[in-house]
Amino acid sequence: MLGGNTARIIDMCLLRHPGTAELAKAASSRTVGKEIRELEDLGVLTRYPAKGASAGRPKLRCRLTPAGLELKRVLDDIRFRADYRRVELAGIPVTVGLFRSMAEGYGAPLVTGHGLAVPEGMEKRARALARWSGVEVEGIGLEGFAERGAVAEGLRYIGLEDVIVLAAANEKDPARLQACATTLINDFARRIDYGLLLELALKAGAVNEVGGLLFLTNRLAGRGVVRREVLDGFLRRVARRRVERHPRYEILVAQGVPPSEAEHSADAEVREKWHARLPTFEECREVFGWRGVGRVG
Amino acid sequence: MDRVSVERLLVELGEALPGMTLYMLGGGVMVLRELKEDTVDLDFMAESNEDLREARRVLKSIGFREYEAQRFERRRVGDRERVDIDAGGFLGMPLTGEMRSRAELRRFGAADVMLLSDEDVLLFKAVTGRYKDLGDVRALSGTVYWDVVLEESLRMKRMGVAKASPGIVAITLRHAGVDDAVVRRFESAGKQSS
Repeated sequence: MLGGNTARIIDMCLLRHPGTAELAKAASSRTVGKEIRELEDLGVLTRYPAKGASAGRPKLRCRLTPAGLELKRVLDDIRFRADYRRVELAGIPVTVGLFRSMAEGYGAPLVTGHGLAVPEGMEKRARALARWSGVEVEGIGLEGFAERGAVAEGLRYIGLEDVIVLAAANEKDPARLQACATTLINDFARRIDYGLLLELALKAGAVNEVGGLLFLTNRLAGRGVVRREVLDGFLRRVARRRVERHPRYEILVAQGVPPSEAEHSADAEVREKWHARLPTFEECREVFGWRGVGRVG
Repeated sequence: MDRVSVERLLVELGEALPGMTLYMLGGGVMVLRELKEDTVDLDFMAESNEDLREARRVLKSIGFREYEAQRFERRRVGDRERVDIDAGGFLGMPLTGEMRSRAELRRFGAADVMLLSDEDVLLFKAVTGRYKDLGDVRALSGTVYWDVVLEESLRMKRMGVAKASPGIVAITLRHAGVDDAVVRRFESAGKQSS
């Protein structure tokens, strides 16, 4: 069971609901046919007729059953840990990647991923060691981030302050990570080392965004979760720049909403005072307070 | 919700809603097409109010709580799931016949789930004005036929759905950093049709 062909078939069945012909890319038709029958017998995958297939023998598509999906989850985790160990044993400082650190480490809402984080400049070496296609390697520019990380259940996760700064400065999916970061700031407000946070934000050139997130967190919580003097410390280091209004503002104005009503006061303050481009107050509110149990905290 | 979570929830819903056809849009479709890693929620359109009532009943029976009108959530250990569902349309935009005919069938459990085309997923995302949708619009912009998006946007305008008109879509496309020539086409179509 669980040989390379089996694992490949399980991977392919997750998303595309392939037919047997497509699965034959994983191995020969005969092998694939045998594997499918065995996996079906084990209750890992099931087949259903594709609609609109031409006359004659109906074409069948394969999809994973709930048991198959659980197995896929376990397989992914095994592969992730194997690559993590391989990189670690090579002496490269490594942590779980940003998305997974936020979700699994700190219970942040709605972000997942199978990335590994290594110091910038070491990505190429780490990628060469990572064997499984689902595992991505990201380079982190904050010096010493791995040493500041927190270990839980055999994996090192990115430290809280680094997570907030990296979320604020993320280019891949900034709005979602930033919105999730407000929940982390709210829940871990007493654990955050704000001196370190400011230092890291300065290094990352993200003082405006991190400060804006601290401010937004207070507005979302409706109270001073982050102390006034902390906000003032960030505000003093804010770099002034022109920030465009949210697209939502333009859309509402184009639809006839008076300009004075088209922007939330918190969004106006983030733009005018913090000079930051962050998700809207309403977007953050959609996920605010939505946090599960994290392994680190 | 990552790919496994999306598929797992779809199978669970499909088992509980035999014979029903649901139209899926939003980030869930992008996850299933490998255009993004995960999504905040799954968005559906039922074909009728009767189907919507049945879907709401089933969602509640499998542990979802309706915390806003037609917005459901279920919290489990290590997993959070959110489902938005409406009938005949979404966000005030109707499900048109053309959208139906472009949709791709997938079977989950005993239910048919029709995934809206990338063009229609983009159109729905282009009217929200949310930052987080800009990244999705950018990702979709590499796969769509702009003629199809523009045609559907003009159709919306003719149907009186001003929020999906080409001029509005152009605002989102510009913020998402879509090619200038495409943005100008939508702006120009918006002006001509007004």
